[in-house]
Amino acid sequence: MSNNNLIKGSLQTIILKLLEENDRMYGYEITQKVKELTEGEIKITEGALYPALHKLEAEGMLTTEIEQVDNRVRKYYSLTKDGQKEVSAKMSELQSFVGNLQRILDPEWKPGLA
Amino acid sequence: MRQLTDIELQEIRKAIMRKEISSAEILMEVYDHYISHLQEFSEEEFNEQLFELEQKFTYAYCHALQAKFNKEIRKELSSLQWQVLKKYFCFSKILYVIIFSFLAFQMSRFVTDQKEIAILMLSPLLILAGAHIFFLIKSHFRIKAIKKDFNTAGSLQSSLSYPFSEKLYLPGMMAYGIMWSAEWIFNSNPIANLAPSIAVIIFIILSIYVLTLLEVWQIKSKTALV
Repeated sequence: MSNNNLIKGSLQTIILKLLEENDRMYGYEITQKVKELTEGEIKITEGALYPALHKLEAEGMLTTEIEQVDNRVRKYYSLTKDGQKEVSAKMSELQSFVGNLQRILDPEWKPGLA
Repeated sequence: MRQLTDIELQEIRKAIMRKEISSAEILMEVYDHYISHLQEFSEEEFNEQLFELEQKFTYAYCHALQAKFNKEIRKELSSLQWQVLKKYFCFSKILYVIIFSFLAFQMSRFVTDQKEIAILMLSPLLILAGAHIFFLIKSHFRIKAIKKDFNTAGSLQSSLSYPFSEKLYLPGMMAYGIMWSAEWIFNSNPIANLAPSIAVIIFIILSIYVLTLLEVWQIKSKTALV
């Protein structure tokens, strides 16, 4: 099943969270990390990833550094101070959304219950 | 992970060149993505994987990505310059701005004729002109290596190049406007007495604009191809 539409809304949160845990990453590395963490269940498409990275960079959430790797230039992304603050805000927003979604799908469900 | 052969690298460059990307930043990011991906596969799978990448990074996608990136860059430069400007008025720096403004006003007392007023007003533009030449040379050398790799003499340049040049031209245009209206400003009686003060205010505004822009360039040159 394609879950691209479900991922779209939380892509920025995923990127910010990964960068919080990994210090700095480049585009391809982010796609592979998501694939690895979800055992291939979630694949971030390049079509959505790069525009999201550029948007976060322009908003001052990410900073970039350029490094020479095997005769080519690689662009690494990392969190700025504003980005670090944004991670927790985005995470609680997403967690609250998932909780609400759970309540809609299963009205019997209560937070903390397995 | 394996090292790609020269022929494979050539194939990748050819495929990317066909997309006619003009932004050096986008070109390098797509190129790195292609190589990082293809290094994961064997020589036998190379063509199939390259084809798959070509389905994702289509001509239309790359141009849309480039257009969005160029738009974001403009926003980013303006917001960065605004942030730098705000720092000038924070507690630790405001004293320097006050001293600078005070000295500029003192200097204006020695200004006597129209020519001196014009020199005072437009002197920050000399720094800007020098910075622009340096910017063009540095940007040219950074892009030259990429152009050589991709064997292109085309329109490849940093996405920051145009927006930055525009910001550098802006005070030049303003100066033209000032020169155009100078005669009217400085020859009409009620304003003529205020001419040195007006000139010094323009000098301070232009100086702050130039300094903030140079600081933005310094920040971006560490992370971009300019």
